[in-house]
Amino acid sequence: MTILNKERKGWGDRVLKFYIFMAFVFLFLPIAIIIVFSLNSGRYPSFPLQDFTVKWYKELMLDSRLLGSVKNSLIVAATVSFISTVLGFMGAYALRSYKLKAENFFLGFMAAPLTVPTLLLGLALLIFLNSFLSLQNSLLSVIISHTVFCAPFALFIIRARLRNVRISMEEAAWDLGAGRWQTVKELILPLCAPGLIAAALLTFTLSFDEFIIAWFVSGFQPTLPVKIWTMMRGGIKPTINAIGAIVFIFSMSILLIGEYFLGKKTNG
Amino acid sequence: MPDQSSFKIEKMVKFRNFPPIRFFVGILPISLWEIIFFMLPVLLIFIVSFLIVKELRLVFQWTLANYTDIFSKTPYWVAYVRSFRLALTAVVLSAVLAYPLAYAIAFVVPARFRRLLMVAMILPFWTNYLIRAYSWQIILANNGLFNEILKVLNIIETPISILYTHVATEVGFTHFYMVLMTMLLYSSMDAINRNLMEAARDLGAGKLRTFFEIIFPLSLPGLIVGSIFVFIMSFGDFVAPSILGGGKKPVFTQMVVDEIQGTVNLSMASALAVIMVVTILIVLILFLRRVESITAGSSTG
Repeated sequence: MTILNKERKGWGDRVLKFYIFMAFVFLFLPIAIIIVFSLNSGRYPSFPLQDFTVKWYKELMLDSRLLGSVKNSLIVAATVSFISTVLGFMGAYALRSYKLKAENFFLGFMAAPLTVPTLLLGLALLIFLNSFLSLQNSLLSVIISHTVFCAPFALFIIRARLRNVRISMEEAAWDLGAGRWQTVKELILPLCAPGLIAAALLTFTLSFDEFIIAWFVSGFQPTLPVKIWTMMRGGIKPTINAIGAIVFIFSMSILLIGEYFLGKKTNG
Repeated sequence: MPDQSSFKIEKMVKFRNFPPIRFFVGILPISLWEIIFFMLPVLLIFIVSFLIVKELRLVFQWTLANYTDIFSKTPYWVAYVRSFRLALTAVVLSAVLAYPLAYAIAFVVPARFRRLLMVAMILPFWTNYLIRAYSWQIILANNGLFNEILKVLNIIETPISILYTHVATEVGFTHFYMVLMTMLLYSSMDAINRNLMEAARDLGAGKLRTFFEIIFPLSLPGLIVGSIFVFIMSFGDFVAPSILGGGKKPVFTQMVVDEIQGTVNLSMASALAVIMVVTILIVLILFLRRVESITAGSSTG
């Protein structure tokens, strides 16, 4: 009986492990394909592959409009990431230091912008910023809009991190005569630094890769995804593969560093 | 152990009696941001949906015309039903594909590899959605990887057209939302007390019985929350249907974008958006009720 069980377990496990493998092939396939074709000299992304080339990357470097959109995206993502992390930290720290009766309600309110489809958020912000605030389409609009869903995201990450910092430590600091600001600066901030860095990096990529909202509100200052969208509408261009490969590798690296800080243990 | 925790609670209570003025200083900036730039704009959608647009500008003149238009014109309804069906299919597909994956990671993979696998899974999920959809366009094209493989395997002679049909849309949806579903399922499976499973085995329950009586019921909350998310996000997705599905059979979001980018009729777009919001809320309420009944049932039973 036990032997039979073991045999069946071994067989089932092997099938499941193979399934994991296949699932990861499926998940990484689009990324691999873009990278392969970005280095392929053929104009059309079809098989069989032709010679190895880096000419599409060189061509990118000559496209000043594209480079401009990269610059726009970097400005937006960096600003959004900074504002979101500050707002998220302030909110998370406040939630921790006072027992709010409606805490669950507040958290639900914070989760709402993360669950609403970006199309709705984009339309709402387009109407609000353009027609009611008369803020002409600009990078500022994109920054404001992206912060709407990035700030709550940062709040949730930092809140999870702050939970690991024991409250007794904070009290000890006060007992030793540290003021509230000094405690935050010298105890809380260093202890939840990994959470802050993770929040900053993850919100950076969220903003950097966001397309729909930016498309609606960016106007004549397109961000990179908006620019890529226009390129895609214009037919097949091998340079899209090159910029795609760069974006994939860039985003995944930032995400990996973020994940590293997210998983870091506190000694608090 | 109990001593320590009660001590901790006492400290917390003491700690949390601080004057709330500081609390407000911390909580206010993010709350104001969300009230001004999230709640207000979303409320505006409702108001604008009852206004009219003249010469590309919103005019404050109340009307029900947008709604009567939507309800009387079939293209809107066809697109709505299409979106609904595509979203439901995405829920089923991603649940079917994600369930064995989450199970395998939670119960077959050794503990030290689990986090690694989950991080590896999030990587492609987190990258640019637009470029991923573009990549699927390349893979599913008539001379793309998928058709080439089928040709090499002698399964087909002429390529099958998948690109610019909603089969391709579903591929895009599934690729994206399967990860979300796996993460939620995994977190509810990982939380299952492994002693419970061992106890079941010791009492003579086979693998199947352990699965159906312990693992499956306890993974249901993850499955339901995952389904809600997948439904909302695929119903509200514009990128996959337009890049992979093409424009011949537009989905609801494509109708909305047409009103925004094409005719620049923001009040019509708002009315369509209101219908989307209402749909999402109904689905949310129906599903969440189900979660409540399940969690209530498992705690009493």
